[in-house]
Amino acid sequence: MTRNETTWEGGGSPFAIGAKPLGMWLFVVSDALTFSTMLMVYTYSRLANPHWPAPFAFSPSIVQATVMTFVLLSSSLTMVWAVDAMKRDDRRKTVQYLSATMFLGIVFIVIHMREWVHLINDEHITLTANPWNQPLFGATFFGLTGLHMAHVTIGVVYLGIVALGTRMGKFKTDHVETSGLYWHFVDLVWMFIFPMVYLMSVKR
Amino acid sequence: MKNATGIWALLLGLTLAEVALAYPSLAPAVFLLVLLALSVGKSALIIAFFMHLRFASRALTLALFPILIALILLLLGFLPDAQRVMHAA
Repeated sequence: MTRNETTWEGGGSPFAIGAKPLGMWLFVVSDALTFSTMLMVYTYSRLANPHWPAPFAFSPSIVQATVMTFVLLSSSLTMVWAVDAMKRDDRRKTVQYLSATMFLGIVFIVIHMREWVHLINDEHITLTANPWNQPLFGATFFGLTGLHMAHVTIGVVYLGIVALGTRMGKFKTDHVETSGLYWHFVDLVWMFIFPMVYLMSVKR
Repeated sequence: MKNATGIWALLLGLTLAEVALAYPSLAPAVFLLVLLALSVGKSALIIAFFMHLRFASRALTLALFPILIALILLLLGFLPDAQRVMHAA
């Protein structure tokens, strides 16, 4: 390059962020469309069917799902604190906050698995059958919440790698910021799954 | 940091409001609209403050979100058809 190119020509940083966060933003937008489509399938089926199952009793399902929401929101807060600590170059605090975020992610997975076990064992809901004879319910519910749980699990592993790299001094602020974008997105998706799936099908 | 704690408390409050609204037995379509509005509000708070989009360049916001919002609105366009299916059943 013999001269300084303008932003329009590809020089500089058009979006004023690094390549890593930009890549994560592009992933987040595409993944948001995947979840939007799955939520739409669930909601359409729910609205179109007057006999749609309502297996979510206040206790344990709604109480557990509310606690899960509280846990995920809290994990987002510790993630914000991790990014903030990294910006101050306080690596020890960054690793502590990342570990707290991972711990809360694991708590979310454990509670969610308990909820699945309750639905399978006590309510007799599987991927293809349930007492209401509405097979789409199990397929859409387990598909949607399973995909989300997979994202949380991958997120916990991802944060573990970032925490290790940060502790060893190999990773920089943009690594932690990028992992934060992923984690907040996982939280954001749950903000739609909780009301659209659980609250739209409460047992009265 | 203080700001993030305030947003976290607000998000928790909105979540509890959603749970409280689940029990007065609103019509499904009405309840869905209320929940969608609250969820969009909560996600806007997460994107703006936790994901720091509020402090990012406007070019980034314009590059990422118009197409996402347009596609989600197109998906939402299918929802009224669910009522037709229900009444036809």
